[in-house]
Amino acid sequence: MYYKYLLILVFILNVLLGIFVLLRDHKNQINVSFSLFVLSVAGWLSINFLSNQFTDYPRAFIFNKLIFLESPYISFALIYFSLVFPYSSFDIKIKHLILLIIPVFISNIFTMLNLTITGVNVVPGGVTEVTFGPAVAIWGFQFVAYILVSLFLLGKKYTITKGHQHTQMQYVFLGIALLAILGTVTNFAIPLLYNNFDASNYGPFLSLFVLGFTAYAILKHNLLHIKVIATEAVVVLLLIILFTKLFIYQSTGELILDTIIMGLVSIFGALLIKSVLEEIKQKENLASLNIKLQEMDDQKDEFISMASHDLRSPLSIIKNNLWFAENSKEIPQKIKENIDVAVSSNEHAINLVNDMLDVSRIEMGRIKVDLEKIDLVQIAREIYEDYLLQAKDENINLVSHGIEKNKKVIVNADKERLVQVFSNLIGNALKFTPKGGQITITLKTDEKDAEVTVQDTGIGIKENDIPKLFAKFVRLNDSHISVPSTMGTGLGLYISKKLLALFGGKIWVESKYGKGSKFIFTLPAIEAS
Amino acid sequence: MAKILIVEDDKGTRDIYSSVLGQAGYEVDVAENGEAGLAKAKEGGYDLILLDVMLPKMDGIALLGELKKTPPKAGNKNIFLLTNLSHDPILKEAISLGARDVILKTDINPGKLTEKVKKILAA
Repeated sequence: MYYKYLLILVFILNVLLGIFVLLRDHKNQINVSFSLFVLSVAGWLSINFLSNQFTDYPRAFIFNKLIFLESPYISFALIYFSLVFPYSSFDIKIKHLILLIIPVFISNIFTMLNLTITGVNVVPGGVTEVTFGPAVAIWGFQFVAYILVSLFLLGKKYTITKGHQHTQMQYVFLGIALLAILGTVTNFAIPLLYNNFDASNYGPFLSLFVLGFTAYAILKHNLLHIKVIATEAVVVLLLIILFTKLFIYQSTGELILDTIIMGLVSIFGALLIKSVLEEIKQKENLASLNIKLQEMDDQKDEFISMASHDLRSPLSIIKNNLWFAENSKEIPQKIKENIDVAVSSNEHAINLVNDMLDVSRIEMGRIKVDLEKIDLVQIAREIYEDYLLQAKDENINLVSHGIEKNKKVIVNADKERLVQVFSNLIGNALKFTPKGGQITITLKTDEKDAEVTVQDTGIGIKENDIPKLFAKFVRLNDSHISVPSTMGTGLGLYISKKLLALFGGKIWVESKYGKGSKFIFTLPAIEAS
Repeated sequence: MAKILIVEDDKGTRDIYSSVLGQAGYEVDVAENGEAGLAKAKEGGYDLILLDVMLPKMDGIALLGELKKTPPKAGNKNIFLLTNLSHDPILKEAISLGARDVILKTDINPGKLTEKVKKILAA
């Protein structure tokens, strides 16, 4: 008894899905073919059900014959669907469909001539058994071949598609594959090979796989715009129920109330559908806008890369030649000074190009860092040693604390970028500290963080300039700019701050004008000894 | 004596690099475009190839691709890109095609290049 109701429910669900998918866009081949498939499954369900209701031979025979006449159309609809979903590799015209339907007609002719099934054996209270004729081979070949080709086509497209389409394909493929393979086994292979018809009872429920997976895809992935279809289905169902109720009214008052309710449901239903449609449209717009923006970002990044390449080319040639000039013998002192100025200007231009590239990448969110576990102490020590000579040349005392060889502080960061941060801070300190001054590099750790301090005895920063310090192209009115021959890019601290943030760190400054500055940065320490 | 191949289209740059590396005691070969570079690299046996990316006739990435397809019998020990390009997708591709690392031309002068080469070849 439950079996009968369940079957009717599955039938209704299939029919509803088919109708609504078709109504959504009856010009779209995907919708047409999918709806054809679901409706042909529903047709098969109903004939299958009816064939078991009749116990007299003529009608039982006719309905069983109908099953074999109807089922080839399921395979036809499936092959049509697999050709167009989610895109067609070629323009599918009516002539292709005619070619595809010819084998179905041939199969039908043999069945009409009673060559596919020759008779039935009505089992009282059980499933009607079928006696197969020789043409069952033709029926079976057409049916199985179409299903295998369809699954092959869908499987192939599944491997090719990407992203959203790939997910759609996954559910559709799973649902259809399970129905097609298991259905062929329960309703064809087992009856034919073992002459056992019991399993065919369960065949109709296999269409729940298609329904279930499509429904899941609807909820999760908005397949075939079925969110709208589902909304429409609910509204229409509600209207049908209300409409039927109009005919069984018991009083005029009830009739008026029901009519009003129905009118309200129609209005709100229409509004609901409209809002769902709008939501979908907005989502689609956003998605295509996102793709466009991504493409523009790619182009911008490539343009900036190429521009910086072209700017660096002459700078590297100048650099090479200046090096040669610098290293030649017997150059007068005056010329040597000129070369030094050219070298430092050239380095400044190179730094500008590098910093501009970094900034543009930071702003596009495209800066690449290779995070690895590195020893902060070792990096600090190497940089300290690198700068010792320059500090000595400038008569500045460069000292360090906490970076002795027996110490180790492991942090998760990009080594090259961390060197960039250190160089920026020490370079700045050297720039703004007068002769005879001191720069102190200190590394400390507590339980969580490593803390690096670069302290100088330079000119310092005025209080109202401090908040501007980590901004782009910073130019301070009263502090740094008053120091002659400072050739910064105004980007170093901004880049350092952004880089440290990528490693989970922070940077800030403590300074008193006239007394020097103290730049402090922290990084999460993974391990310290 | 270690053998080095420089594939570089700018004559000035090529001459400077080859002369400093020659003075440092290396046997230096040069190629002025990608095709000539590939022909030499295919003979193999270089301890180091310094390869530019933006090259006439065949760019550095295509050269690496060809070299990967038909590797020479006597392999080339190290290939480094020596370029002014810092476009990540291209550099990543170069590394995946067999380049060990990238040296930015603006980061080095001829003196530093010699130091770097010594380090690479000593390792």
